[in-house]
Amino acid sequence: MSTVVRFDDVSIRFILQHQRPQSLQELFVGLVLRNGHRTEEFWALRHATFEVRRGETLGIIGQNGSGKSTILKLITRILRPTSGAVRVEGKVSALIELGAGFHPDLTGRENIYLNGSILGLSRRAMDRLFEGIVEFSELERFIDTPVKHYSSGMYARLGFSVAISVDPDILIIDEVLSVGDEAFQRKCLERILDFRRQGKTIIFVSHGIETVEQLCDRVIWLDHGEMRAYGDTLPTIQKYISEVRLQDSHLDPLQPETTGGERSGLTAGVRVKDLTTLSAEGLECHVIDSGGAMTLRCSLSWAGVKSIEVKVDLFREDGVVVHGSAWQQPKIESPSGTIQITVSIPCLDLMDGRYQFVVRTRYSTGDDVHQATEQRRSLIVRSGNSGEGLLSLKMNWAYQYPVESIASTDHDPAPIAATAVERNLSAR
Amino acid sequence: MIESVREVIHYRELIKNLVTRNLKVRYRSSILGFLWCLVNPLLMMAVFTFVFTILMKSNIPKYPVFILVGILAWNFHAVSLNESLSSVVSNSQLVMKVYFPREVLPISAVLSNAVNFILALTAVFAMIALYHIHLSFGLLYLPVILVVQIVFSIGIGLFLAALTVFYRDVAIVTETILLAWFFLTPIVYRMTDLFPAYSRIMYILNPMASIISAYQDVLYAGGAPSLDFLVRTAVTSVLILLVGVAFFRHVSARFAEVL
Repeated sequence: MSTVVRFDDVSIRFILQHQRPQSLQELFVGLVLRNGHRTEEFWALRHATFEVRRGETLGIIGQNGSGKSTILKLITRILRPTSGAVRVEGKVSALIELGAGFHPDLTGRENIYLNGSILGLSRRAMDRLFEGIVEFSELERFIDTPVKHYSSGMYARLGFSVAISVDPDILIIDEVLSVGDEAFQRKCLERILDFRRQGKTIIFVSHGIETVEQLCDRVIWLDHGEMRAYGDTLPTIQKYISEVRLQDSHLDPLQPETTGGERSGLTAGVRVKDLTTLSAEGLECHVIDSGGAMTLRCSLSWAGVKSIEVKVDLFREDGVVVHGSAWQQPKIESPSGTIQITVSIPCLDLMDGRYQFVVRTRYSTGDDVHQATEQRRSLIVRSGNSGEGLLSLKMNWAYQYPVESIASTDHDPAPIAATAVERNLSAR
Repeated sequence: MIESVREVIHYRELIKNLVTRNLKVRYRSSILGFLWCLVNPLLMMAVFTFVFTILMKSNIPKYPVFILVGILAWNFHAVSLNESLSSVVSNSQLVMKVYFPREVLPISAVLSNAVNFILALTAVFAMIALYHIHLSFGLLYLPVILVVQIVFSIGIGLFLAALTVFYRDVAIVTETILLAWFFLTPIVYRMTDLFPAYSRIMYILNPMASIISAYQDVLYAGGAPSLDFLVRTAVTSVLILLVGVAFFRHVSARFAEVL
């Protein structure tokens, strides 16, 4: 197989914006005062070396800001490397920002042609593709309406349809599968799988470990611009998961561990501490097998309050609420103290993916109810269920065949109907 | 350099679409549509005619035609530069998300104004008929002059578009320069009336002066432009374009980082 994308020791450096003179005026002032040399460097990608072969599906995983999008922008030639070489062969189409380049005042039809020419296609080529694009987008009725009247879903649908229809050699996908309604999402995924079956190359960026696992042949794990692991999908993902487990104790800075109340030095407040998830065996862990038991444990301390309330919400990583409990009101004996709370869940029937528990609290000082702190904890669920959706339902499948076809076999029909005909298939 | 040209040619469809987009967006939301590009220069013509013939007693005959030719060509130049200047910055969404040769943006800004200019020339021909000016075979030079001006404007436009990405106040500086440039160009006056001693050097230093005079030769005086002026201006314009393309290509690699 031939190589279609090759990164050879690629690094890219950004000079941080606020250090750069934004105007000629600042430039001259900087020249005179000689203080313009406090430039701060930021390496978005360091020494990346990898290659993608024709027909391969490569996944790129990593936390926010780890350089995933930078790699995609290097492949699409939007960015140039500071050092090293990027080689790309074939036509690239990127599902990065759907409908980038749509003009709100132009109609859907005009925007299809405009977008096609941004991707370098001639008018004649677009004439041939036009019907298919409109059909796939299901926007026939609105195609002569200016796109400023489109909903964001329609906008993205049109963008996706153009990007996927231009018959690229390399398709780049950056977390866009959350486009439109579910039926359209499935259609998109189907088109992407189709694309893969045709032996085309796909480069796929996602936070969703399960999608990467389903789609990709090989995976790159990026961490702060460096390649932490690169290779076959399963071992790389496992390394990633075990690392996330270590990191999660000091959480993502974007999601503050605690908010509100006591941080600003108030005397009254509630605080959630030491939130952990425990496996069925009682061990602290971040990866739970679907269908098993698990326990959530934390401690709650309060001061200067009359009553406290606490609840637990569970989110999928895309923000879908899996469950939100009712507010619970533990009895408190004195205005300050500490308790430990355990919530055991006997059976967590979730599909693969990353989830997050959020423990929220509020308290009352007598007259008012105040929102207080919250704490989060990430969780990865493994189900082994290849279906889709949110819940991993246990399903038993049975098939009853018409009785006469069995009766004609001349055997005693009753035992057959009872045993052989009813085949139980577990979905798991 | 050659790669740059080849790429731009490959993306000619995009240029065409962007030009149509610019024109459609400009005219779609107004009832009078493209009539606006006639009304504005005609009003300016009236103002300048009033100031220069009644207040300042200019001795240029058929002054309205003279001024209209100059104003239209200058507007084409000035608006082209302003629009190419902001072309990359105002399309930053696109530049950061999709690859295409970025030269396309200033080029299509200039070309959509060229289309505008050609449409606006109908007003000039109406005035020519009104004032009984006889045009000669020199009119055949009109497309040549237009091409020279387009080449010149794209060359300057490429510089301005690229510089604006890095320094936003290029726009302010350009505005002032354009004002000075306007008065140093024989639009409201004739070069020989105002700078009889320096007119040659003024033409050499300012290609726009030659371009505007060439339009006036063809559309107002009913003659042909002097060939040595036109050839020299053409050569200058092509040189500026080449340097502009090279400069733009060199710095455009960093656009997505800086925007």
